Amino acid sequence: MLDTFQALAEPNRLAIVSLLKAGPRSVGDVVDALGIRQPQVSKHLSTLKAAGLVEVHPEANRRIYRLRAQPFMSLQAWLEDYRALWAARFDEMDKILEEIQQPGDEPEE
Amino acid sequence: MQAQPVTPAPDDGTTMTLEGDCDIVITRSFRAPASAVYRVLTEREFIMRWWAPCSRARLEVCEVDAQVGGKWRYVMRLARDDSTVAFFGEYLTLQPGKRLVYTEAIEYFPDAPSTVTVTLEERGGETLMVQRASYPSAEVRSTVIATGMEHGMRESMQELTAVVDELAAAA
Repeated sequence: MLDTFQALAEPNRLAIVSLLKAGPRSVGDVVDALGIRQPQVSKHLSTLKAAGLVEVHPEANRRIYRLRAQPFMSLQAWLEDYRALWAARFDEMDKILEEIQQPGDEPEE
Repeated sequence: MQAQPVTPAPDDGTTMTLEGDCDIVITRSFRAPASAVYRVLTEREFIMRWWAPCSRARLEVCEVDAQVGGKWRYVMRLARDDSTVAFFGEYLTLQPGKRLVYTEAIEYFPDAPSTVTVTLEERGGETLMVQRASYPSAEVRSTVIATGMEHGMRESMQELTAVVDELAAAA
């Protein structure tokens, strides 16, 4: 999972991932869409591939990259778990806030 | 880098966003004045109740010295596997009803604390709370999150597997 975060921590790689969300793309498509030089795009794509975030399929004489769903779902599942922890804490805070706001029920200082 | 919303729009009003390389921002509105929210955030008797939601964990130790330079330390026992984990830090800024800044470290990474800034904004009887945790680097944020992920994953693995199976079947 650390690989997923580290791979996404680089702005150009994040931009590539965002582009691939719309659908599979060739290296040339990514170069055209993002205006990043081809050697850099290739390097970023291979990092993303090593992290398991994208997979590549040959199509005619081109290599087509697309996102793999699983690492993103793993990432989201954990992040949602973390968010849900805070949501549960805030629900507890709601209860306390309701109690301490009742008139005449102010805890002694 | 732009803010990336990382979770779907929640029904419970709690949003979480990864910002830049180093921050995690969580927001929530409370139907209460900012002064009351601030008390709940800083007084031990209240922290004892909300910090470890009882369905998931309970707080075994809760030491709070809410003054500038004061230290805090919580030890949480997780319902999931009966393990404990300690969190600790120091209060840096306390502006009652407005703003609270403290450091927070988890025992596994004692030398890599995040700085947490909580701001309260009262409007029309409601208080918007914005909590920004800033990690010293992208790497630390990744490591802290990924470590937590291993814990969280155990819980949600079953659910996740079901989703993956569903997607695979649809492909």
